[in-house]
Amino acid sequence: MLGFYVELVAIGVATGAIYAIVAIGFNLIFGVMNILNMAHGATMMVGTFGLLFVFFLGVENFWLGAVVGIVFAIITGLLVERLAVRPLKGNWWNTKVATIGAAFFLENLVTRITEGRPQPFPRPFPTRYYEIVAGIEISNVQIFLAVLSVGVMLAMVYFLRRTRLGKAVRVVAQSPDIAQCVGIDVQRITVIAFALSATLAGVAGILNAVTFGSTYPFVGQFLGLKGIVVLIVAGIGNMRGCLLIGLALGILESMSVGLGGSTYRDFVAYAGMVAILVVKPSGLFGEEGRTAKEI
Amino acid sequence: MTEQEAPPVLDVKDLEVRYGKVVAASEVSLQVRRGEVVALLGPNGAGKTSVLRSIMGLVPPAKGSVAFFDGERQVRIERKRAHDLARLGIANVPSQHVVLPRMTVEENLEAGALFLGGSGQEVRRRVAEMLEKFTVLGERRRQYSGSLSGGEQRLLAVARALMCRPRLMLLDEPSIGLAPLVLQYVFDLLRQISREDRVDILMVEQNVNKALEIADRAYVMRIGAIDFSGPSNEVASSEKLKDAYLGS
Repeated sequence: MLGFYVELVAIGVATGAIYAIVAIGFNLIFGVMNILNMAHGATMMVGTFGLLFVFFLGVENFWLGAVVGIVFAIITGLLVERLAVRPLKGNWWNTKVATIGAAFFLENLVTRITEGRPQPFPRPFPTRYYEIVAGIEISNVQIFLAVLSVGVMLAMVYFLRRTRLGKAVRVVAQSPDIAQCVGIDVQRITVIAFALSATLAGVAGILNAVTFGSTYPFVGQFLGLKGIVVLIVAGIGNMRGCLLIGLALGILESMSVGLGGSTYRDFVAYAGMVAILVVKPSGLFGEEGRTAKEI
Repeated sequence: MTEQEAPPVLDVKDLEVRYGKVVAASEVSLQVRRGEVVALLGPNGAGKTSVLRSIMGLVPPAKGSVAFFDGERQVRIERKRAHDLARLGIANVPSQHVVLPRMTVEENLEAGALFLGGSGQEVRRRVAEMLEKFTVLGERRRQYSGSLSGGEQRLLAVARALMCRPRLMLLDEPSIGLAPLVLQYVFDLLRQISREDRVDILMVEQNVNKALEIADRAYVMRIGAIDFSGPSNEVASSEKLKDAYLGS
C-alpha cells in the first residue's frame, strides 16, 4: 500500500512541476506587463507540434525535436507579443481578448493541419522501471520529468534573482517608470520576458505530452487553466509560491485520482482554488492588494 | 574650455508639449548651468511637470529642442527615450511610487546601476558608498523598501539616482508627502549633493519657499508658458510670484 502512495506522489510531483512551469510563464508576463497572456496554453501546444514536425520530416531524434519545438514556441510567443499585445499598448481588456483570439487562431490552424486528431508523442528513451524500495517502482520517464521540471524552475528562480537581465525583469515588473529612469529599455525587457515565457511554455508542453504520451490541438486549454489556478492560489508575482503550489496541486490531483477516480481531479483543483480565495483573496503567497480580480 | 565658456548642462529651447490636441506647455526655454540648482515653479496646471516629463523623455515634445552637455560634447536629447538619458548621465527621480517596493534597499540601489556599465564589483562598491553616505538607508539595507517611511523612500530614490554618478538630476516634486523635519533634511541633502557630488539639479516643486532656499535660479510657469525667471532671491521677493500663485 505504501508503494502505491509513493507512486502517486511521484506522478504528482512530475505533473505538479509542469503546472508550476506553466504558472511561472504566466507570472513572467503578468509581472512585466500586468496582462494575462491567454495564448500561453496555445504556445505550449505549438511546442509539442514543433517536436512532432521534426519526426514528420523523418528525423526521429527526440532531443533535436525538443529544441525545434521550443524554437517554434519562442517564435509563437514573439509573434503574439508583436501582433496581439504591443499594438494595444497595455489596454488590459483588449489585450486579454486579443490573446484569446491568438490562441483560437493557433489551435484552429493546427487542427486544420493535423485534422484535429490526437497525435502519439515520442518518449526521450524506452521506459524502464526501477525498484527504489522493496515493492516500489518508479519509471525512468517519471524521474526524468520530475528532475527536469524542478531543474527548469530552479534555473528560472536563479535567473530572476542572480542575473543582470533577470533583475531587470523584476525591476520592470515592479515599476516600468523607475526601470526607464535607471536605464532599462522596457520594450526590450518585455520582448525578452515573452521569449522566456514561451520557452517555458515549450518545455511544459513537451513534458506534458511525454507524460500522457500524446498531444492534440486544444491541449493548451486544459494545461493553461491549471497554470492559472496555480498562479491565483500561489499569489500573483510570487515565483516560489508557483513552485510550491504547482507541486502541491499535482500531488493532490494524483492522490484524488488514485483514491477516488479521475472525475475528482479537476474538482479538487478548482474547488481548492475557490476555497483559498475566499479565505485569502491575494493568494497564499501573494502581495496584499494584488488579487485574482486583476486576472 | 572653462566652465564659464562651456555650454549649459541642460539647454531647452522653445519646447512645446502636447497631449493630443491639448497644449500643456509651449515656447518654454530654460537652462541649467554647471554647478546650479534650478527650480521650475508654478501653480497647479501651469505645465511644469509636463515640461519635466518631456525633458525626461517620457513625453516626446511636439516642438523645440533639448540639449545636454556631458562635459565633452553637447547631445540633442529631445527624441531620445528615458532609458537612453540615464545612460548619458541624466538621473530622474519621479514624484510618486519612487521605490521598487518588493526589493530590499540594497537591491533598489543596485538597480540604479544595473544597466549603466561597470562590473558587479564596482556596483557593489558603489552600493556600499551610498549606504555609508545615507546612514538611515544603511541601517535598513535588507529591509523591503515598500516598508520604509515616505522620507526614507525619497532618500532611497535620490541615492538610487546617484548610483550612476549622474551629471544632471531631474527631480519631480521632491517634497510631496514629507513631514517638515524630513523635508528640511531632504532639501539640505539635495544642496549637499549639488555641491559635493557636483550634480546639477533641475527640480519641479510646489513648495516655493523650500525650493527657493536651495535653488540658485528659478523659472516660474503660468498657463503653459514661462512667466518670468531670475536668481532665487529676486524671484522670492518678486510681486510676480504672488501674482502667479494668487492670480492678478
